[in-house]
Amino acid sequence: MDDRDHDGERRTPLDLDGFTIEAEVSNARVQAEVLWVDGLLERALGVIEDDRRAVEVALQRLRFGDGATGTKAPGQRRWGLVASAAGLLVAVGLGLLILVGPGASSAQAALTRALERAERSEARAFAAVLRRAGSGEVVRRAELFTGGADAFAIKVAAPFGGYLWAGADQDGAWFVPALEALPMIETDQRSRLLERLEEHGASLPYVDVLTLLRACSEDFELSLDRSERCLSGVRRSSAPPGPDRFELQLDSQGELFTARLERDVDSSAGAWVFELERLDVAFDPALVERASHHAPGRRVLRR
Amino acid sequence: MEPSPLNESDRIDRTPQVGRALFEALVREHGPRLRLFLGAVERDPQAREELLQETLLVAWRRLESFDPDRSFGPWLRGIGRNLVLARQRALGRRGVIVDPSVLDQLEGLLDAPAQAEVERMELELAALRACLEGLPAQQRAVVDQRYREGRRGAELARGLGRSLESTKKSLQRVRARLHDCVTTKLAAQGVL
Repeated sequence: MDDRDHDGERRTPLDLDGFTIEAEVSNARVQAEVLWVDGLLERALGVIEDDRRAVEVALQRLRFGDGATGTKAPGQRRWGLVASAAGLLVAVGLGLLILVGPGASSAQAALTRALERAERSEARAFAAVLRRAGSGEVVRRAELFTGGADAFAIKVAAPFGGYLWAGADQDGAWFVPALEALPMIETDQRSRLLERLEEHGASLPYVDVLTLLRACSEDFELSLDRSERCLSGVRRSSAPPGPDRFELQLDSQGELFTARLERDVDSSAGAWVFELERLDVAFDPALVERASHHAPGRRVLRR
Repeated sequence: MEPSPLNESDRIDRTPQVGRALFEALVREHGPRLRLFLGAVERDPQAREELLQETLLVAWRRLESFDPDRSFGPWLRGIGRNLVLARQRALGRRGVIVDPSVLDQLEGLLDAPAQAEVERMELELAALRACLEGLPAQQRAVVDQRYREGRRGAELARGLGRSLESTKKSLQRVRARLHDCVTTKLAAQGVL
Protein backbone atom coordinates (compact mmCIF):
# COMPACT_ATOMS: atom_id res chain seq x y z
CA MET A 1 0.00 0.00 0.00
CA ASP A 2 1.31 3.43 -0.87
CA ASP A 3 1.99 5.24 2.36
CA ARG A 4 2.53 8.64 0.83
CA ASP A 5 -0.10 11.24 0.05
CA HIS A 6 -0.35 13.41 -3.00
CA ASP A 7 2.23 15.85 -1.60
CA GLY A 8 4.75 13.05 -1.18
CA GLU A 9 4.59 13.41 2.58
CA ARG A 10 4.88 10.23 4.60
CA ARG A 11 1.64 8.92 6.00
CA THR A 12 1.52 6.68 8.99
CA PRO A 13 -1.15 4.30 10.20
CA LEU A 14 -3.39 6.00 12.73
CA ASP A 15 -5.85 3.81 14.51
CA LEU A 16 -7.94 5.81 16.93
CA ASP A 17 -11.29 4.21 16.38
CA GLY A 18 -10.68 0.60 15.51
CA PHE A 19 -9.88 1.26 11.88
CA THR A 20 -7.19 3.23 10.14
CA ILE A 21 -8.18 6.83 9.58
CA GLU A 22 -6.38 7.19 6.31
CA ALA A 23 -8.14 10.32 5.16
CA GLU A 24 -7.11 12.16 8.29
CA VAL A 25 -3.40 11.60 8.05
CA SER A 26 -2.64 13.52 4.89
CA ASN A 27 0.17 15.37 6.62
CA ALA A 28 1.93 15.54 9.93
CA ARG A 29 0.19 18.71 11.05
CA VAL A 30 -3.30 17.33 10.41
CA GLN A 31 -2.42 14.07 12.10
CA ALA A 32 -1.14 15.94 15.15
CA GLU A 33 -4.35 17.98 15.26
CA VAL A 34 -6.42 14.80 15.14
CA LEU A 35 -4.38 13.33 18.00
CA TRP A 36 -4.75 16.51 20.03
CA VAL A 37 -8.54 16.69 19.60
CA ASP A 38 -8.81 12.96 20.27
CA GLY A 39 -6.86 13.36 23.52
CA LEU A 40 -9.08 16.25 24.62
CA LEU A 41 -12.25 14.32 23.77
CA GLU A 42 -11.09 11.38 25.85
CA ARG A 43 -10.67 13.73 28.79
CA ALA A 44 -13.80 15.81 28.27
CA LEU A 45 -16.04 12.75 28.08
CA GLY A 46 -14.47 10.98 31.01
CA VAL A 47 -13.22 7.79 29.43
CA ILE A 48 -9.66 8.29 30.58
CA GLU A 49 -8.39 8.42 34.12
CA ASP A 50 -7.86 11.93 35.41
CA ASP A 51 -4.43 13.19 34.40
CA ARG A 52 -3.61 14.75 37.74
CA ARG A 53 -4.43 11.56 39.55
CA ALA A 54 -2.34 9.50 37.12
CA VAL A 55 0.58 11.90 37.53
CA GLU A 56 0.21 11.73 41.30
CA VAL A 57 0.39 7.94 41.15
CA ALA A 58 3.51 8.15 39.02
CA LEU A 59 5.04 10.59 41.49
CA GLN A 60 4.14 8.32 44.37
CA ARG A 61 6.25 5.67 42.76
CA LEU A 62 9.17 8.07 42.63
CA ARG A 63 8.91 8.92 46.31
CA PHE A 64 11.71 6.96 47.76
CA GLY A 65 13.97 7.50 50.70
CA ASP A 66 11.54 9.54 52.78
CA GLY A 67 12.23 9.71 56.46
CA ALA A 68 15.08 7.61 57.75
CA THR A 69 16.86 7.05 54.49
CA GLY A 70 16.74 10.65 53.34
CA THR A 71 16.68 11.85 49.78
CA LYS A 72 19.62 11.99 47.47
CA ALA A 73 19.97 14.48 44.65
CA PRO A 74 19.74 13.39 41.03
CA GLY A 75 23.02 11.90 40.05
CA GLN A 76 23.80 10.96 43.64
CA ARG A 77 20.97 8.64 44.48
CA ARG A 78 20.83 4.98 43.63
CA TRP A 79 18.12 3.58 41.42
CA GLY A 80 17.63 0.66 43.78
CA LEU A 81 15.63 2.97 45.95
CA VAL A 82 13.08 3.46 43.20
CA ALA A 83 12.18 -0.20 43.15
CA SER A 84 12.18 -0.29 46.95
CA ALA A 85 9.83 2.66 47.15
CA ALA A 86 7.50 1.17 44.56
CA GLY A 87 7.37 -2.07 46.52
CA LEU A 88 6.65 -0.16 49.71
CA LEU A 89 3.81 1.71 48.07
CA VAL A 90 2.29 -1.53 46.89
CA ALA A 91 2.49 -2.74 50.46
CA VAL A 92 0.54 0.23 51.77
CA GLY A 93 -2.30 -0.35 49.38
CA LEU A 94 -1.53 1.72 46.35
CA GLY A 95 -1.07 -1.36 44.26
CA LEU A 96 -4.52 -1.01 42.75
CA LEU A 97 -3.55 2.30 41.32
CA ILE A 98 -0.35 1.05 39.80
CA LEU A 99 -0.80 -0.47 36.42
CA VAL A 100 2.68 -1.81 35.81
CA GLY A 101 5.00 -3.62 38.18
CA PRO A 102 7.86 -1.45 39.42
CA GLY A 103 10.47 -4.03 38.53
CA ALA A 104 9.31 -4.21 34.95
CA SER A 105 9.15 -0.45 34.64
CA SER A 106 12.61 0.10 36.13
CA ALA A 107 14.01 -2.72 34.05
CA GLN A 108 12.54 -1.25 30.90
CA ALA A 109 13.98 2.13 31.83
CA ALA A 110 17.39 0.54 32.46
CA LEU A 111 17.28 -1.18 29.10
CA THR A 112 16.28 2.05 27.38
CA ARG A 113 19.20 3.78 29.07
CA ALA A 114 21.58 1.02 28.01
CA LEU A 115 20.37 1.45 24.44
CA GLU A 116 20.82 5.19 24.60
CA ARG A 117 24.30 4.73 26.05
CA ALA A 118 25.17 2.28 23.30
CA GLU A 119 23.94 4.70 20.66
CA ARG A 120 26.02 7.53 22.09
CA SER A 121 29.03 5.65 23.38
CA GLU A 122 32.58 6.22 22.22
CA ALA A 123 34.68 3.42 20.84
CA ARG A 124 34.16 0.16 22.71
CA ALA A 125 35.59 -3.32 22.26
CA PHE A 126 33.88 -6.57 23.28
CA ALA A 127 34.89 -10.20 23.29
CA ALA A 128 32.13 -12.45 21.97
CA VAL A 129 31.80 -16.19 22.41
CA LEU A 130 29.15 -18.44 20.94
CA ARG A 131 28.79 -21.96 22.33
CA ARG A 132 26.55 -24.16 20.30
CA ALA A 133 25.47 -27.57 21.52
CA GLY A 134 24.92 -30.42 19.12
CA SER A 135 26.86 -33.48 18.06
CA GLY A 136 29.88 -31.76 19.57
CA GLU A 137 30.11 -28.38 21.20
CA VAL A 138 31.12 -25.63 18.80
CA VAL A 139 32.82 -22.59 20.20
CA ARG A 140 33.10 -19.53 18.03
CA ARG A 141 35.04 -16.49 19.20
CA ALA A 142 34.87 -12.97 17.87
CA GLU A 143 35.89 -9.45 18.74
CA LEU A 144 33.38 -6.69 18.34
CA PHE A 145 34.31 -3.04 17.95
CA THR A 146 31.80 -0.22 18.14
CA GLY A 147 32.52 3.28 17.00
CA GLY A 148 29.67 5.38 18.35
CA ALA A 149 26.29 5.87 16.71
CA ASP A 150 25.59 2.59 14.97
CA ALA A 151 28.98 1.91 13.39
CA PHE A 152 30.63 -1.36 14.26
CA ALA A 153 33.02 -4.01 13.01
CA ILE A 154 33.29 -7.63 14.06
CA LYS A 155 36.25 -9.94 13.59
CA VAL A 156 35.29 -13.60 13.62
CA ALA A 157 37.62 -16.56 13.64
CA ALA A 158 36.97 -18.41 10.39
CA PRO A 159 36.43 -22.20 10.56
CA PHE A 160 39.40 -22.92 8.30
CA GLY A 161 41.81 -20.32 9.60
CA GLY A 162 42.14 -16.58 9.36
CA TYR A 163 39.48 -14.06 10.22
CA LEU A 164 36.28 -12.83 8.68
CA TRP A 165 35.38 -9.19 9.09
CA ALA A 166 31.93 -7.70 8.93
CA GLY A 167 30.69 -4.27 9.84
CA ALA A 168 28.41 -1.40 9.10
CA ASP A 169 28.22 2.35 9.30
CA GLN A 170 25.80 4.98 8.14
CA ASP A 171 26.67 4.25 4.50
CA GLY A 172 25.83 0.57 4.63
CA ALA A 173 27.24 -2.80 5.59
CA TRP A 174 30.29 -4.73 4.41
CA PHE A 175 31.72 -8.20 4.66
CA VAL A 176 35.31 -9.32 4.14
CA PRO A 177 35.90 -13.08 3.71
CA ALA A 178 38.96 -14.63 5.28
CA LEU A 179 40.25 -15.83 1.92
CA GLU A 180 41.83 -12.89 0.14
CA ALA A 181 40.95 -14.27 -3.27
CA LEU A 182 37.28 -13.72 -2.51
CA PRO A 183 35.80 -10.27 -3.05
CA MET A 184 34.68 -7.89 -0.34
CA ILE A 185 30.90 -7.57 -0.28
CA GLU A 186 28.97 -4.36 0.24
CA THR A 187 25.25 -4.19 0.92
CA ASP A 188 22.63 -1.73 2.11
CA GLN A 189 21.10 -4.33 4.40
CA ARG A 190 22.77 -5.05 7.71
CA SER A 191 20.71 -8.18 8.13
CA ARG A 192 22.60 -9.69 5.21
CA LEU A 193 25.74 -9.83 7.35
CA LEU A 194 24.32 -12.73 9.32
CA GLU A 195 23.63 -14.57 6.08
CA ARG A 196 27.18 -13.94 4.82
CA LEU A 197 28.65 -15.25 8.07
CA GLU A 198 26.50 -18.35 7.85
CA GLU A 199 27.59 -18.92 4.24
CA HIS A 200 31.18 -18.88 5.44
CA GLY A 201 30.52 -21.31 8.28
CA ALA A 202 30.79 -18.68 10.99
CA SER A 203 27.20 -17.92 11.95
CA LEU A 204 26.50 -15.79 14.99
CA PRO A 205 23.15 -14.73 16.45
CA TYR A 206 24.24 -11.10 16.72
CA VAL A 207 27.01 -9.01 15.25
CA ASP A 208 26.44 -5.67 16.96
CA VAL A 209 25.49 -4.34 20.36
CA LEU A 210 22.52 -2.21 19.31
CA THR A 211 20.78 -5.11 17.59
CA LEU A 212 21.40 -7.29 20.61
CA LEU A 213 19.96 -4.71 23.01
CA ARG A 214 16.97 -4.04 20.78
CA ALA A 215 16.31 -7.77 20.63
CA CYS A 216 16.34 -7.83 24.44
CA SER A 217 13.64 -5.19 24.53
CA GLU A 218 11.20 -7.34 22.57
CA ASP A 219 9.01 -10.08 23.94
CA PHE A 220 10.75 -10.54 27.29
CA GLU A 221 9.54 -10.33 30.84
CA LEU A 222 12.14 -7.99 32.26
CA SER A 223 13.48 -7.70 35.77
CA LEU A 224 16.17 -5.65 37.42
CA ASP A 225 17.99 -6.69 40.55
CA ARG A 226 18.37 -4.44 43.57
CA SER A 227 21.84 -3.30 42.55
CA GLU A 228 20.22 -2.08 39.32
CA ARG A 229 23.23 -3.42 37.46
CA CYS A 230 21.83 -6.79 36.51
CA LEU A 231 18.99 -6.81 34.01
CA SER A 232 17.44 -10.10 33.03
CA GLY A 233 14.72 -11.19 30.70
CA VAL A 234 12.68 -14.34 30.11
CA ARG A 235 11.04 -14.78 26.74
CA ARG A 236 7.27 -14.69 26.85
CA SER A 237 5.65 -17.95 25.85
CA SER A 238 3.73 -16.31 23.02
CA ALA A 239 6.83 -14.68 21.55
CA PRO A 240 8.36 -15.70 18.22
CA PRO A 241 11.52 -17.84 18.28
CA GLY A 242 14.62 -16.28 19.80
CA PRO A 243 16.76 -16.49 22.92
CA ASP A 244 14.86 -17.98 25.84
CA ARG A 245 16.51 -15.77 28.42
CA PHE A 246 19.21 -13.18 28.81
CA GLU A 247 21.17 -11.44 31.48
CA LEU A 248 22.86 -8.07 31.03
CA GLN A 249 25.35 -6.57 33.44
CA LEU A 250 25.44 -2.79 33.31
CA ASP A 251 28.19 -0.54 34.60
CA SER A 252 27.66 2.38 36.97
CA GLN A 253 26.72 4.57 34.00
CA GLY A 254 24.06 2.15 32.85
CA GLU A 255 26.15 1.05 29.89
CA LEU A 256 26.38 -2.57 28.79
CA PHE A 257 29.27 -4.43 30.38
CA THR A 258 28.44 -8.07 29.77
CA ALA A 259 25.63 -9.92 28.06
CA ARG A 260 24.62 -13.56 28.12
CA LEU A 261 21.82 -14.85 25.91
CA GLU A 262 20.65 -18.44 25.96
CA ARG A 263 18.58 -20.51 23.61
CA ASP A 264 17.49 -23.87 24.96
CA VAL A 265 16.19 -25.55 21.84
CA ASP A 266 16.99 -24.78 18.27
CA SER A 267 15.66 -27.32 15.81
CA SER A 268 18.37 -26.60 13.27
CA ALA A 269 21.49 -26.30 15.37
CA GLY A 270 20.73 -27.16 18.97
CA ALA A 271 20.93 -24.98 22.02
CA TRP A 272 23.34 -22.10 22.19
CA VAL A 273 24.78 -19.53 24.56
CA PHE A 274 26.08 -16.22 23.29
CA GLU A 275 28.24 -14.10 25.60
CA LEU A 276 29.62 -10.63 25.23
CA GLU A 277 32.12 -8.95 27.54
CA ARG A 278 33.41 -5.41 27.27
CA LEU A 279 37.19 -5.18 27.03
CA ASP A 280 39.33 -2.47 28.50
CA VAL A 281 41.49 -2.03 25.42
CA ALA A 282 42.21 0.85 23.10
CA PHE A 283 41.94 0.41 19.34
CA ASP A 284 42.17 2.51 16.25
CA PRO A 285 38.69 4.02 15.64
CA ALA A 286 39.30 3.58 11.91
CA LEU A 287 38.82 -0.14 12.49
CA VAL A 288 35.07 0.31 12.20
CA GLU A 289 35.40 2.01 8.82
CA ARG A 290 35.02 -0.12 5.73
CA ALA A 291 37.99 1.61 4.08
CA SER A 292 40.27 0.03 6.65
CA HIS A 293 39.30 -3.40 5.37
CA HIS A 294 39.41 -2.74 1.68
CA ALA A 295 42.81 -3.96 0.58
CA PRO A 296 44.09 -2.36 -2.63
CA GLY A 297 43.18 -4.41 -5.63
CA ARG A 298 40.57 -6.51 -3.87
CA ARG A 299 37.34 -6.79 -5.79
CA VAL A 300 34.15 -5.41 -4.31
CA LEU A 301 30.75 -6.89 -5.02
CA ARG A 302 27.48 -5.13 -4.23
CA ARG A 303 24.66 -7.43 -3.17
CA MET B 1 -7.17 28.64 39.08
CA GLU B 2 -4.24 29.17 41.36
CA PRO B 3 -1.30 30.94 39.85
CA SER B 4 1.71 28.85 39.01
CA PRO B 5 3.63 28.53 42.28
CA LEU B 6 7.06 28.97 40.79
CA ASN B 7 8.89 30.66 38.01
CA GLU B 8 10.81 28.11 36.03
CA SER B 9 13.88 30.28 35.91
CA ASP B 10 14.34 29.91 39.65
CA ARG B 11 12.92 26.48 40.07
CA ILE B 12 15.82 24.13 40.01
CA ASP B 13 17.49 24.33 43.35
CA ARG B 14 20.25 21.76 43.23
CA THR B 15 20.21 20.97 46.92
CA PRO B 16 18.90 17.44 47.38
CA GLN B 17 15.86 18.11 49.54
CA VAL B 18 14.63 21.15 47.65
CA GLY B 19 15.50 19.66 44.28
CA ARG B 20 13.06 16.82 44.66
CA ALA B 21 10.26 19.04 45.94
CA LEU B 22 10.70 21.34 42.98
CA PHE B 23 10.83 18.42 40.61
CA GLU B 24 7.52 17.17 41.95
CA ALA B 25 6.00 20.65 41.66
CA LEU B 26 7.12 20.87 38.06
CA VAL B 27 5.82 17.42 37.26
CA ARG B 28 2.43 18.24 38.78
CA GLU B 29 2.22 21.24 36.54
CA HIS B 30 3.53 19.68 33.34
CA GLY B 31 2.64 16.02 33.89
CA PRO B 32 -0.96 16.23 32.62
CA ARG B 33 0.26 17.71 29.34
CA LEU B 34 2.93 15.03 29.15
CA ARG B 35 0.29 12.36 29.65
CA LEU B 36 -1.84 13.83 26.89
CA PHE B 37 1.23 13.77 24.63
CA LEU B 38 2.05 10.15 25.47
CA GLY B 39 -1.57 9.05 25.26
CA ALA B 40 -1.94 10.61 21.83
CA VAL B 41 0.59 8.21 20.38
CA GLU B 42 0.39 5.25 22.73
CA ARG B 43 -3.15 3.91 22.62
CA ASP B 44 -2.70 1.05 25.04
CA PRO B 45 -3.61 2.32 28.54
CA GLN B 46 -1.07 0.16 30.34
CA ALA B 47 1.72 1.09 27.96
CA ARG B 48 0.75 4.75 28.33
CA GLU B 49 1.12 4.68 32.11
CA GLU B 50 4.35 2.75 31.72
CA LEU B 51 5.69 5.44 29.43
CA LEU B 52 4.61 8.14 31.86
CA GLN B 53 6.46 6.38 34.66
CA GLU B 54 9.55 5.84 32.57
CA THR B 55 9.59 9.45 31.46
CA LEU B 56 9.50 10.68 35.03
CA LEU B 57 12.21 8.23 36.03
CA VAL B 58 14.49 9.38 33.24
CA ALA B 59 13.66 13.06 33.89
CA TRP B 60 14.52 12.72 37.58
CA ARG B 61 17.76 11.02 36.73
CA ARG B 62 18.67 13.70 34.19
CA LEU B 63 17.41 16.68 36.12
CA GLU B 64 20.90 18.09 36.35
CA SER B 65 20.98 18.40 32.59
CA PHE B 66 17.82 20.53 32.52
CA ASP B 67 18.53 24.15 31.62
CA PRO B 68 16.45 26.27 34.02
CA ASP B 69 16.34 29.08 31.46
CA ARG B 70 14.16 26.88 29.30
CA SER B 71 10.66 25.58 29.82
CA PHE B 72 10.30 22.36 31.74
CA GLY B 73 7.27 21.06 29.79
CA PRO B 74 8.94 20.69 26.39
CA TRP B 75 12.03 19.20 28.07
CA LEU B 76 9.88 16.63 29.82
CA ARG B 77 7.93 15.80 26.68
CA GLY B 78 11.21 15.58 24.77
CA ILE B 79 12.21 12.74 27.05
CA GLY B 80 8.80 11.17 26.52
CA ARG B 81 9.19 11.59 22.78
CA ASN B 82 12.50 9.70 22.80
CA LEU B 83 10.99 6.90 24.84
CA VAL B 84 8.02 6.68 22.47
CA LEU B 85 10.37 6.39 19.50
CA ALA B 86 12.54 3.84 21.31
CA ARG B 87 9.46 1.78 22.08
CA GLN B 88 8.31 2.11 18.50
CA ARG B 89 11.68 0.85 17.29
CA ALA B 90 11.50 -2.04 19.70
CA LEU B 91 8.01 -3.06 18.64
CA GLY B 92 8.66 -2.57 14.93
CA ARG B 93 5.61 -2.96 12.77
CA ARG B 94 3.65 -4.67 15.52
CA GLY B 95 3.02 -1.35 17.22
CA VAL B 96 1.37 1.87 16.16
CA ILE B 97 3.73 3.76 13.92
CA VAL B 98 3.85 7.49 14.42
CA ASP B 99 6.24 9.52 12.36
CA PRO B 100 8.65 11.70 14.38
CA SER B 101 7.41 14.70 12.42
CA VAL B 102 3.93 14.10 13.84
CA LEU B 103 5.39 14.13 17.34
CA ASP B 104 7.09 17.42 16.54
CA GLN B 105 3.83 18.91 15.29
CA LEU B 106 2.02 17.63 18.35
CA GLU B 107 4.65 19.21 20.57
CA GLY B 108 4.06 22.46 18.69
CA LEU B 109 0.36 22.24 19.51
CA LEU B 110 0.96 21.45 23.17
CA ASP B 111 3.69 23.98 23.85
CA ALA B 112 2.24 27.00 25.61
CA PRO B 113 5.23 29.14 26.44
CA ALA B 114 3.29 32.07 27.84
CA GLN B 115 0.98 30.06 30.07
CA ALA B 116 0.89 27.57 32.85
CA GLU B 117 0.23 24.27 31.14
CA VAL B 118 -2.42 23.11 33.57
CA GLU B 119 -4.35 26.32 33.04
CA ARG B 120 -3.98 26.06 29.29
CA MET B 121 -5.30 22.51 29.29
CA GLU B 122 -8.32 23.51 31.34
CA LEU B 123 -9.07 26.31 28.88
CA GLU B 124 -8.83 23.82 26.03
CA LEU B 125 -11.17 21.40 27.75
CA ALA B 126 -13.64 24.17 28.58
CA ALA B 127 -13.61 25.27 24.94
CA LEU B 128 -14.15 21.69 23.80
CA ARG B 129 -17.09 21.19 26.15
CA ALA B 130 -18.69 24.37 24.80
CA CYS B 131 -18.09 23.15 21.26
CA LEU B 132 -19.66 19.78 22.06
CA GLU B 133 -22.79 21.58 23.24
CA GLY B 134 -23.07 23.19 19.84
CA LEU B 135 -22.88 19.97 17.84
CA PRO B 136 -25.90 18.80 15.86
CA ALA B 137 -27.57 15.77 17.45
CA GLN B 138 -26.31 13.40 14.80
CA GLN B 139 -22.67 14.38 15.29
CA ARG B 140 -23.07 14.41 19.05
CA ALA B 141 -24.29 10.82 18.86
CA VAL B 142 -21.14 9.85 16.96
CA VAL B 143 -18.94 11.48 19.59
CA ASP B 144 -20.86 9.99 22.50
CA GLN B 145 -20.76 6.46 21.15
CA ARG B 146 -17.08 6.71 20.30
CA TYR B 147 -15.78 8.52 23.37
CA ARG B 148 -18.34 8.17 26.14
CA GLU B 149 -19.27 4.55 25.42
CA GLY B 150 -15.85 3.60 24.05
CA ARG B 151 -17.13 1.87 20.91
CA ARG B 152 -14.70 1.32 18.11
CA GLY B 153 -14.55 -0.05 14.57
CA ALA B 154 -17.37 -2.30 13.44
CA GLU B 155 -19.10 -2.08 16.82
CA LEU B 156 -19.25 1.68 16.50
CA ALA B 157 -20.60 1.46 12.96
CA ARG B 158 -23.28 -1.00 14.09
CA GLY B 159 -24.22 1.24 17.00
CA LEU B 160 -24.67 4.15 14.65
CA GLY B 161 -26.45 2.02 12.06
CA ARG B 162 -23.99 3.08 9.37
CA SER B 163 -21.35 1.58 7.17
CA LEU B 164 -17.73 1.57 8.27
CA GLU B 165 -16.85 4.10 5.61
CA SER B 166 -19.63 6.43 6.64
CA THR B 167 -18.60 6.12 10.29
CA LYS B 168 -15.01 6.94 9.47
CA LYS B 169 -16.10 10.00 7.51
CA SER B 170 -18.36 11.13 10.32
CA LEU B 171 -15.58 10.89 12.88
CA GLN B 172 -13.26 12.70 10.55
CA ARG B 173 -15.74 15.52 10.04
CA VAL B 174 -16.70 15.91 13.67
CA ARG B 175 -13.10 16.00 14.85
CA ALA B 176 -12.23 18.57 12.20
CA ARG B 177 -15.24 20.64 13.25
CA LEU B 178 -14.29 20.40 16.91
CA HIS B 179 -10.70 21.33 16.15
CA ASP B 180 -11.80 24.45 14.29
CA CYS B 181 -14.30 25.34 17.00
CA VAL B 182 -11.81 24.91 19.86
CA THR B 183 -9.04 26.87 18.17
CA THR B 184 -11.49 29.65 17.31
CA LYS B 185 -12.66 29.88 20.92
CA LEU B 186 -9.10 29.83 22.25
CA ALA B 187 -8.06 32.51 19.78
CA ALA B 188 -11.02 34.65 20.85
CA GLN B 189 -9.78 34.39 24.44
CA GLY B 190 -6.31 35.39 23.33
CA VAL B 191 -4.95 31.97 24.26
CA LEU B 192 -3.57 31.06 20.85
